[in-house]
Amino acid sequence: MGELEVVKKAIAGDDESFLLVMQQHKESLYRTALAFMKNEQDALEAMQEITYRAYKKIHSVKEPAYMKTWLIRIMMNYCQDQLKKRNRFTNNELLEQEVVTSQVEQLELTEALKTLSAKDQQLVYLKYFQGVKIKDIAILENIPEGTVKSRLHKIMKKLRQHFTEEGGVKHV
Amino acid sequence: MFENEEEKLHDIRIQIEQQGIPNSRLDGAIHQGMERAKREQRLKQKNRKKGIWTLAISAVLLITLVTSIRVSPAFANAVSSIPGLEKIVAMIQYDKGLTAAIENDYFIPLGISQTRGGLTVTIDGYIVDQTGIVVFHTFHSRDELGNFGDMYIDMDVEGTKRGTSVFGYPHDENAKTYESYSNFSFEEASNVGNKMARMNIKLTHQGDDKKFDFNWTLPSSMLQGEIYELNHSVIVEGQKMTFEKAIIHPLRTEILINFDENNEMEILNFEDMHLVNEKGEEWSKIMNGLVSKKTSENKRSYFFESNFFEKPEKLFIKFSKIQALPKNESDLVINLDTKEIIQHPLGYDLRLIESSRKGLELHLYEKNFNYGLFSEVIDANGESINLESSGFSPREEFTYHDVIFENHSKTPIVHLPLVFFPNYINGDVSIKLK
Repeated sequence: MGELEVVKKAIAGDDESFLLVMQQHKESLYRTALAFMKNEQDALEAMQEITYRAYKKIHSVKEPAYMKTWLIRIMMNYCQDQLKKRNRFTNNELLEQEVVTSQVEQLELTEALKTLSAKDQQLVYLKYFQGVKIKDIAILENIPEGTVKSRLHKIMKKLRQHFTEEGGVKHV
Repeated sequence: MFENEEEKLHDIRIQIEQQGIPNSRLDGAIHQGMERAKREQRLKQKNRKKGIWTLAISAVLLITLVTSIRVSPAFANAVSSIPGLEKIVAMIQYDKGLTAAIENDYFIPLGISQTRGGLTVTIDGYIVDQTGIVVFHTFHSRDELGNFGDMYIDMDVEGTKRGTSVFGYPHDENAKTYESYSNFSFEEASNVGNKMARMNIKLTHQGDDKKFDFNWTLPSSMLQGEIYELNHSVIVEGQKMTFEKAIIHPLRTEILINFDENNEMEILNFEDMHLVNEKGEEWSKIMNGLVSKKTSENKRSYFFESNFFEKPEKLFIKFSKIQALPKNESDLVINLDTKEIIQHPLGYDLRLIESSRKGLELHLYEKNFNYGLFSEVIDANGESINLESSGFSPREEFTYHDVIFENHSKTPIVHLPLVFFPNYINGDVSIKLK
């Protein structure tokens, strides 16, 4: 049975196919969670939550070919929500622990990414981390390719600005 | 242009991709997430199923939830001489036929109990005739009753084909006692004298699956239904229908109607059909239970409260308003995959909210129309799809209808023959039964 067939069966509500789909994308999903949540425990929790949400909503997927992006999108939404909630409670100690584990330059970029809107963060993630083509992003978002390009362009400009201003981290 | 930034992003990507994957824990997370969703789905379906269970596919059930029961003082007085019967009488107050059966000593007390881990089920008694059996039972729990999970009550009477069963769920989960009754009708009227009746109850109580099995022998003799041959044809707005016969059984009155195959309209439901005697006393359609069933292509049986024990001198069938639809619009046709309604009655606002191969949800924008629209789903191969549950609930602006299939539909296109719909034909009709 082809990959697309499995996805179609999963959308139609077949449990076994759903499990296959999740297995197939678990690595990408986990890495997405890791990119946002920054630690294994939270990423695993996100994985459970996303399986739960996907199972409930999979019948609404209209285009089987975009199953992976659909899943990654739910994952990103979830992670961003979690981070937003958490921000209200995080104390500085935790933040410092994260600093130690990351390399400084990448940390700067990560911090710079945090200054972007949730939507823009997702766009960057899809384009640069998951390698989704601009054409496919356009179809998914239901906007012209040109709009995707100009949005990415603006984002890059913002990121550059962040670096050229001294000490990006302080601005967060 | 932004090579530097893009390179940095790429570095992060590589770094993330180099991290190990905790495979087994990841599988565990997927498993747990899926189980959680499935559990929730099961709960949802169970809630929807409350109080209704259909076995016979072509049967139409009507469930009226009775929230308060008033007993007239005179009536209460009449039955207070029979200890333990008050609560049973109270339950069936709104069915004149069942009430009369009890008044006429047709109720058979049983009083057999079984206890499983803190839950006792007692079969208080029953009323039986050739068309079915009504069993009264009491659930008593040491602690709270809870919601009984996916309760299922099955009744098997030797020598009969299982028809339709209707039973309820406890409405107060915190209570310790729940008194109720289950109504089973046989597929065809049959003589069940001396036959063995077997009742199985499966439920979940305080986290445990529990089973109860009761057996008892039915009495040797049983009152026979009275048959009235009618063969009376009427035409309402050009639609011809022949009232073939009426059978007055102790538990229900059955009226068999044949609809002319040349009719342009499909007759759905006789909205106000009732029986009336010479004094103006009325017997209405069965309120809780089987209201009609298709017996063959153009024939249907309709069920009414029985007046078997009253023996009225004269009896008339009366109606003025019929739910009907043009034959080419009487099936709802839906494409489950594209989530489109392909065919529906014209001039009505019917919206498909959700659909998949596992079921569908609809809104009908029509106020105060408290009927389920369909009772059967047929796939494009003409095969009937087994239903796990179907239900409806009235909302402010519309009525909500949903159906969940037991298995996935093999075809994207499904037909749902409408059994109730707010489109009417009118004409005052009175037919003499006796």
